[in-house]
Amino acid sequence: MLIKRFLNILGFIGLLIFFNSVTNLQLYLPINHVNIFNAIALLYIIYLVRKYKKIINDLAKKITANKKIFLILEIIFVGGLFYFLTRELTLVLGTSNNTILKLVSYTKIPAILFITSVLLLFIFPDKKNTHNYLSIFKSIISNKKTRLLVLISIITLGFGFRVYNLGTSDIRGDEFQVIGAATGYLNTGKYYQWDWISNKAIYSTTTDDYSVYDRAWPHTWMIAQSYKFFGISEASSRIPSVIFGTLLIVLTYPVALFFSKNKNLAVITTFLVAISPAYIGLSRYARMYIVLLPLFLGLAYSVYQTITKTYVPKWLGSKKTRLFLEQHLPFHWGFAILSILLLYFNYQIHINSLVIVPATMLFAPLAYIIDVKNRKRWKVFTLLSVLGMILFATLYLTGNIYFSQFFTYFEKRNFQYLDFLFAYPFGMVITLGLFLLAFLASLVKKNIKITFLGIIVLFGWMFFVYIANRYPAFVYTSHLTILVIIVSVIGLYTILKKLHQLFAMIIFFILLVYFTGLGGMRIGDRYDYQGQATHSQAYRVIVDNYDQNKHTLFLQFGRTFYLRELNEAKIVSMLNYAQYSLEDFLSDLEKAESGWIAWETSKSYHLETSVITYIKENFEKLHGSGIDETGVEVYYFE
Amino acid sequence: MKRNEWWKKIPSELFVSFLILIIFLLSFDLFQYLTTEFWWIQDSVNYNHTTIFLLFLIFLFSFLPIKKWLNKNTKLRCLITVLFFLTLLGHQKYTNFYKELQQHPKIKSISKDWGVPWSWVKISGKNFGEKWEPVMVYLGETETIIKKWTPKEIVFEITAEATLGEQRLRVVNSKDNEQLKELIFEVKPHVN
Repeated sequence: MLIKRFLNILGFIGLLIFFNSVTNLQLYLPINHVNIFNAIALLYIIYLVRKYKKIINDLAKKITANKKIFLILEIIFVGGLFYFLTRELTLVLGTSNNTILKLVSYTKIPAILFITSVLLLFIFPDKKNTHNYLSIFKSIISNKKTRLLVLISIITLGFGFRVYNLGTSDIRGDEFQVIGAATGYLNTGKYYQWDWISNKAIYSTTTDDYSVYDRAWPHTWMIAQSYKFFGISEASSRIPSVIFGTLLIVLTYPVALFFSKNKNLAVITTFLVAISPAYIGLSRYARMYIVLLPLFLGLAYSVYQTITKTYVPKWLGSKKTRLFLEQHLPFHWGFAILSILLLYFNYQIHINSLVIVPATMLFAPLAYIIDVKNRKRWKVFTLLSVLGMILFATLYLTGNIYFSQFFTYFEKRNFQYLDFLFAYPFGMVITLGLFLLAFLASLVKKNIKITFLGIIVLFGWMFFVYIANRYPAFVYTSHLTILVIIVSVIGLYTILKKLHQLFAMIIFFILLVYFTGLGGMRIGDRYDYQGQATHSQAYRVIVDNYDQNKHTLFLQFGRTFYLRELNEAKIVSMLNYAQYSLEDFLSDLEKAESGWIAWETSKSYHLETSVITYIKENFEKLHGSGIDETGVEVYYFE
Repeated sequence: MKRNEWWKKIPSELFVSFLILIIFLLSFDLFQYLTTEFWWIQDSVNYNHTTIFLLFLIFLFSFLPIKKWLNKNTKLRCLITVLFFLTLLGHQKYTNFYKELQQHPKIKSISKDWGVPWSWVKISGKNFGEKWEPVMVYLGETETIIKKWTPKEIVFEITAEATLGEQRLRVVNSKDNEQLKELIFEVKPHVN
């Protein structure tokens, strides 16, 4: 009785917190772990619906019997859909100054009406049974033509989010070194860093060689090709990312279909990938991570085919040889060659893709246990995996693994990866729960497809949390998140198919709309990193007023891409990590007649406080904190 | 069904939840203000602890026979509902007020309330900006020189240009917000 009372009260409080999250009422509830309360709320909703089923049924019968009320609900549904779309598009299109859109985005009542109406419309069909949205959805997807239309729409929507206003945000952070290398390649055929002011490759006197940046060179090469056709700009720098971001959407459907064997789930997964704020953000970022995602997805598919099918091509040898290989190395040799190629390119893009190798080695003995019918095959693979692990351990212990610097002996505790991996699409708690449910169900039901994907994610998770010697960042496990989405959607389906359609639609709708739309991770949240420094604006005053006979530029992390209009400039680097002392600064200042000083506001920690104080007290401030939102401190001195 | 009967059919756990949240929010607001602004015991309240406190309240109320009192008492239910919404509104207003307070530097103590030019004075408090955007300290209209800065302590030097006599000591951040409490500082001349 006490427990029941406790759970009931907990459920109601969970509902109130959930309601606050969904409607964004900004009640500022001072608690942590809101996701857990949201999960409690969802479970409580299921419980309440089951408990008050008769009342809901009676209410539904009254509503559906009355055509006028039903029509009003449909209008609210359409209005609510319009609200949802315009609210998200407001953030994307940047038209928040439009009065109507502003009004729509701030009004919470349509959101509440929307949720209520769609719950009733989804669940209860009218008398002619024509308004059951689940049936409509299923019939659209089962028809090949309409399914293709839906997929094309999803891909177009995803492409639109990725490409819209692509060049309006400045080049930021690590993009600078990539575009520098791409320009260097364009002009010299080598991945040299580019001096934007003197318009030549950067030569380092310290190393007596050109400064090279060939990390993820395939991606840099693609940007160079983009420059060939479209010129050098912010937009052309990001075109390869848009292409691969869209390719990810295209590739998701067949791969998700292969692993889930369900067209409906494959379409839903594709939609989730298309509107994922993180993937949209990566597709608008001139870095290699978005290139890795479709490549890694393809690699996972290819590796799975390699180890689960047997095929020896005729050109590999005589009949006797082929028979021997079929029995003792039962790979699909076609996919094996593809896997090696894909692995090579994955590795060239990012070393983190190599997690698939040890994950596959761990999968083999697990498959041996659960896939009883194919034990002979898994025996071979387990032996090969053990040999592979011994070889790796030997190389590692003898210091022959060059990336051993990235390993620690379980010294790390980067638990942020839990959020990075499982935040999307249903919030961390629910997505993790569904993922684990799908994985455990795959072990019980011997579905080695899901087991394979699950092992890759779980190994990657353990590796990055406990072993990887690097600060935690979403991008380092972004290639695993696509597998999380596929598996967690399958996990959701595992629950929904056991429930009455009534409960299935309530849960599915709430999860889909809340966590991908009205609350949680909204599309606009990660769209073009808010609050970044805008050097194009801040450096404008320098470019317009620079006198190369008189002026010296003092720059800390100078983004000379935005000074490329200057043909020549005297630059003093203010170094980083507070290495540039006040004495050095004053000494360099004495040699300069007049000039400019600039650094990124957020990187002020790289300068000594005494240097900043001196500059603030003695020179004229033109941009930066207290003056504008450029995020770049610009001073003039003479 | 009559309106009264309909009202009674709403589970009493909902009203218990309202009551718990009323107590929770009022307690939190009071505790936060007293410990961070009044008594300076801590910089901020740990939300892990508040979550535990909420769960404790839920547990505590599970024991109390509130359901019995609420079941037949429509007026009590109405009162709790009204109080709940008022508390939500009040809490929103308080939170906005508290956030606004954090936009201003706040002085806890000052080493002395007088000084001579070139002497150093220590102020302790909070909201003194960031390393790259520290606050500025003024005596009247004259800016002083910051000799040492930490997020909770500033040491400044009274400049030679400081006007003698009683001045308003102002700590101003990069958003041009100064401390809310007026502080008078006396600049005395050197005694030869």
